[in-house]
Amino acid sequence: MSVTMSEWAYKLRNFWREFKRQKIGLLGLALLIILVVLAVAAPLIVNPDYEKNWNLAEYWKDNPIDAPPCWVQIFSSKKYAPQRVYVWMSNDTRKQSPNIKVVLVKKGRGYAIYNVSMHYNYLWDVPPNNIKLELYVRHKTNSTKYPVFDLYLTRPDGAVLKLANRQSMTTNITSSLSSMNLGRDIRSILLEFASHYVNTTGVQPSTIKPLQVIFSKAGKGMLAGKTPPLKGEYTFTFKIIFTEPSDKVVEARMVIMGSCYGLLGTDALGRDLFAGIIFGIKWALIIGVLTSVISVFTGVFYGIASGYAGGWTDEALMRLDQVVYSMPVLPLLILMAAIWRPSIWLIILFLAAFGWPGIAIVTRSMALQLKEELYVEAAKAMGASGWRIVFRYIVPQTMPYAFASIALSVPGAILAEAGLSYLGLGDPLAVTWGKILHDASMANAVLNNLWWWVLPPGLMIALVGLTFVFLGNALDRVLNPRLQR
Amino acid sequence: MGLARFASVQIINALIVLLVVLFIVTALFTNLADQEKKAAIEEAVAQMKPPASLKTKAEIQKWKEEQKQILYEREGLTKPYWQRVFGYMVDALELNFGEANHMASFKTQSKKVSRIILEALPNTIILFTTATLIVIAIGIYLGMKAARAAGKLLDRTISFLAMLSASLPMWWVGMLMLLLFSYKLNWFPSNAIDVYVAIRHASNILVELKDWIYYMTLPLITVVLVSFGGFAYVTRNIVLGVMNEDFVMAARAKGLPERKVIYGHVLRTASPPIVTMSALSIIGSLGGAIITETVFGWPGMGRVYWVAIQENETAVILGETFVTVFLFVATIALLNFIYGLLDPRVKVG
Repeated sequence: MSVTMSEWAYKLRNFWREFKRQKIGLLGLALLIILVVLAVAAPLIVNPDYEKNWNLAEYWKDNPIDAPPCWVQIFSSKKYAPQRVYVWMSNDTRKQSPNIKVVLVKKGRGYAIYNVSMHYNYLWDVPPNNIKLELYVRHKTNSTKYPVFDLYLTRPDGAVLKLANRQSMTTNITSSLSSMNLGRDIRSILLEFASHYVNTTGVQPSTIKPLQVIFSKAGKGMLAGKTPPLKGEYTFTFKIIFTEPSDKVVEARMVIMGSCYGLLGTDALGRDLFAGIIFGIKWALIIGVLTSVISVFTGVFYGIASGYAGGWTDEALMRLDQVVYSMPVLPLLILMAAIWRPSIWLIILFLAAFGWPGIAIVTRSMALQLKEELYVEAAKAMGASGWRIVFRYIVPQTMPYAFASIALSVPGAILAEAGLSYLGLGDPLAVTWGKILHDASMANAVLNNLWWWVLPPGLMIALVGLTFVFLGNALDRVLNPRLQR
Repeated sequence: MGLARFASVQIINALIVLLVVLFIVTALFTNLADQEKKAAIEEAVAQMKPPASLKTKAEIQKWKEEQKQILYEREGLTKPYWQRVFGYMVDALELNFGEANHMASFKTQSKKVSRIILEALPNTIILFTTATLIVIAIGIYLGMKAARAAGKLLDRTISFLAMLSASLPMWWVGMLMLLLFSYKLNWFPSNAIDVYVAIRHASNILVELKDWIYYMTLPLITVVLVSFGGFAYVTRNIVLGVMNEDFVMAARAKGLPERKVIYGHVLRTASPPIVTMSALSIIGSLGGAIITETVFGWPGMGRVYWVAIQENETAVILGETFVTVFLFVATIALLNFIYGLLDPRVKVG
């Protein structure tokens, strides 16, 4: 036993010495290590809850929509407003952001007036994607004495916009600036504001971009976004009148949805695309490696069985091999997936079920040669069983070929799954790069020039593929020196 | 005589494969196809007006049940499982896949599944035969050149391109091409399906041809771009193997010009494996190519798949899979045959 151990160690050392000379092999190995580390460390890099909630639009509602990655600012003279969330909760002083103040203004018999002011210090050139104001009030059930509120926006230049006037609060308020309509459409309010500075006759309110106008200096061209940004402190003030004595403000939130987001931006649901890319690494590795390991080992044993058995068994096995070899995988996979919507594990099995025939043909011809070798004859003469000969003398000889084939068939498996997911037929619960590209395609990301949504997933597919192609080529050269060119 | 025998063996082989695949797929999807038919019958029966002679609810119920049974019988749904499988196999061979629920064919807006597929098929064939021919031409040219200068810059570039194209999703490259050439530069149309609108205004065949080329260019470039590297690399390896043979050295020793050695001796010997490899590369790219079509909206088989998947048209997906498998098997048989023509040893052996 100890002899074989040191024999293995010797072989391994020899292999490593040869492998070290293959530059692309080392590059492939380095890339593989990085990918595996990223896949394993994914829960530390990004919030692991993101993957569970990937398909829940509700979960991502605080994120900006279609926001580019924040590093685009490096190539631009403009500064982008980052993502910020300010929270104030009445029952937890630790969760009371200094940017939000809740003040009791006046209290009288049967009424109380509160001011909830939200301050946002705007120092950027590109206004936020959107701003969401949320106000949660505890209201006595069955009481029809609803609170009433006004909402003001005070700009750094002193202008005050009245966004809501004596609105009754039948439910909590969650309103975003881009589509605010608390009694009056925000676009009409802004049009009226602009009419003090420019001629607004004939301007359609629907053409106004509310955030652009709010965060720009007043003056000529303000409606077209031609005026410079107005920097300084913006204050949203809710003035609430409670007529039910037990009512009070429970929670207030101001969500500044960034005009840029994170490392890779967001998609049309506000999902963090960097997180998607990180989750995808795990799936790509699982799909690629599992599919190719299963199909290569199936092929190796099938081929050896066929070649070693010979005769009619060989003939029959090779006919079956030919049949499977002649079937196009993708159309059959599409058909299967469209009807059963299988999980990712079934897709892997299906891909593997079609991946073995090529490998089997090669290992069969290897087995045909090997079984004529003298040492096999000798083993037979000494009474070794068929199983022993196959596993002791034939299988080990095919392993170099098998390992190189495993690495080389990984990209094909990843591409097949990505294609299936792109068609919308992948496992809906797995966040794969193909799925991200499917979503991009459904949301017309190309048409809207959302390159940060389209580029990274494809680049990652290519990168993982290349990693294994590099490794496979290097393994092929080291382990099968006869093929060296 | 040997050739005829070889050809018939190939054809019989292909037919066997085809029948086996057909059998497996029908056996798997017979139940599903039955369910679809039953659902359609149930809907039809629910819409039927019972005769006025029937008064009570129970009577009407009974009558409807009878009607359902009659229709089941007519559609062959009461037969045993294997007979139903056989029936569907015959249907598939006759290209009788029934009707789509909502989908319509590209040209004539027909709802017949066979019509939908047959109108899409030529477009796929046009696009991919053209692309494949270009790929083979570029591939052989570059592959020969690389083999003659093994280890030089061109050779290394081709090796890298081959590795890259093995890992690139063709359809994603298509998305990038659209991003760049259609939306940024506005050189080419973004949705190739508009070609049918364009050719309606074409006054003569030349204008129509120009329209087709205009809409086809971007998908064509994409397919060629992603495929030629791998093909050139394979050619290079085969040619390099042949170039080390003794007869090539002999030809050189005779003093034949290098051109004659390469194109007369090396390429002649290398052509059978190159044909096989082209077969494999065409077939290998078929899957990616189908998806690539959908990116460009090219009105081919890929586009049909895309729409059928979105609209849950099972009959269309089934029919289309049959046709694709058929084409696939036929292509392999044809290429095996060509291989036999080029390599006399195969016919004999």
